[in-house]
Amino acid sequence: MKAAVVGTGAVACKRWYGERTAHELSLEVIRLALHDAHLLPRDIDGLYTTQIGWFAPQEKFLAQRMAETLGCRTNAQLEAECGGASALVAFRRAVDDVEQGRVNAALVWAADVELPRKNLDVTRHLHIIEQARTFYGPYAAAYGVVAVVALYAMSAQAYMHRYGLSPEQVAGLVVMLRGHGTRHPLAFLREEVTVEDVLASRMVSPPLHMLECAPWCDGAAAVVVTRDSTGVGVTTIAEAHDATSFAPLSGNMWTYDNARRAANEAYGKAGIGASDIDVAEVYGAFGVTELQLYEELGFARPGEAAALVRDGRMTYGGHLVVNPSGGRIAFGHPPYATPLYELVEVVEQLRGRAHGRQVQRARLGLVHAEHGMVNGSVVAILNAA
Amino acid sequence: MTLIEPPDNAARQFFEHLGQHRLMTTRCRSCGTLHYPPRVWCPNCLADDLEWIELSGRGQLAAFSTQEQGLRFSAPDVLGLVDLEEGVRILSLIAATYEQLRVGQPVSVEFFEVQPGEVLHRFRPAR
Repeated sequence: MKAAVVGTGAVACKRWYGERTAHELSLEVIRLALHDAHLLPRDIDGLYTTQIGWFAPQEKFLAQRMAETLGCRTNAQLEAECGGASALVAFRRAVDDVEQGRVNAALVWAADVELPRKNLDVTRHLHIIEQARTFYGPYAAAYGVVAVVALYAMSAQAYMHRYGLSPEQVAGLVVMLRGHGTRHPLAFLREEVTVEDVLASRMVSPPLHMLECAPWCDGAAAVVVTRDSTGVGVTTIAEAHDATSFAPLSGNMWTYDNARRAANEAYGKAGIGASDIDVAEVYGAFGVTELQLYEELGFARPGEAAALVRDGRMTYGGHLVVNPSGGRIAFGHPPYATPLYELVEVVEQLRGRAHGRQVQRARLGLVHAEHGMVNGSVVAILNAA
Repeated sequence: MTLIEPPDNAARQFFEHLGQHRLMTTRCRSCGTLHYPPRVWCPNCLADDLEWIELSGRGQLAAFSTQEQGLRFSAPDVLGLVDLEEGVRILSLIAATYEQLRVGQPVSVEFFEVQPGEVLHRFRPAR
């Protein structure tokens, strides 16, 4: 029997600067999700979570400690690690367990605390540097690579070069997303910007300006999955991963084959096409990257995503609404929690409960998450009850 | 600051070869597959009989950008991905300003000492 999402919980995506711990954020979103699902902790028999942040010290037994806190005896638990896609991988395992009958009520949550205090001096936190250097392997570490932005920037440059896109053309996406963000009460950035604002913002790694980069934030979200047919149905989930880790050392520099493979598998299994999707949340950590992903997910033909955004086809009144939450660029980006924030947004849209930003007649939704430098993607399709 | 500990013997030898100003990688003696980064056994055929061969160091700039938070070099350092003549792609430092570069530009390798005993490759626009 098909799995369904029957409860959601989320807190504001913001920079808490140590005001709230990951454990506190987790407890808050779990309570919201259980309340929404009309379930109690003792009804939960599967626990699924992720690590608590990119640069946080790694912790063990997060799921088991939560089992003790909540008083849950479970038949399954998992702490998924797959970079930025971790929470959607955890969700996929929860859906599998529920559909196979191993678990009756699964709780999936992720809390991400990236900014433990203001003015954090990373040079005083050697574990952060060591971890960051290890992420990228010895060949990039030799050049002091500790952030992914320059790698995304190179793919963005290759894409813009390939299709002759100007900085003005790609900046239009940020304007759209920041407009969406003004309508979401939990979004981090809630002011509109113009193309001029984007191009006047600091160049971080060319061609990417500051306003084209998703702001790092803290945050948490949770969902409850059961076989209750009154919930938002999980139509299908697919994933695909390339033989790359961060910098693409093979293939062209401007496409993300894994996102295309995952989306095509999901559409095939669901018996639909990209044009059937009414609302989508896409994991675009950078502006140009998000345009590239629209094309891989089938929302635009190669090189045409920026033009569709300009013509209003990716927002209210268009072909579909992409990132009604504001996306990573406006909503904010706590990577481990991000896929669940995306999932919560699509579920609320399909329930017709996205007050002030509701996508009309939303029946089919898509959630996309990726890891590394889009080295792999997970795509979930959901359907209204 | 020193390098992270190389995770395998292939990485260790790669950096030792750089110390001799040689850009080298592994090729499988059994099936002929050229690897980059170098491997300890061949993912194409499982053979562990690999030879080290010297790369030409000539290629084209597939893409480039700058990083402002790099830990080793004065910001902004220019990073690029270079498609070598042999058909492998390599991440490196580019010895030019961002404005001097264009996609597809021919570049060639050179070597520089980061600190005593540590040599790295970087690429410079070909003359």
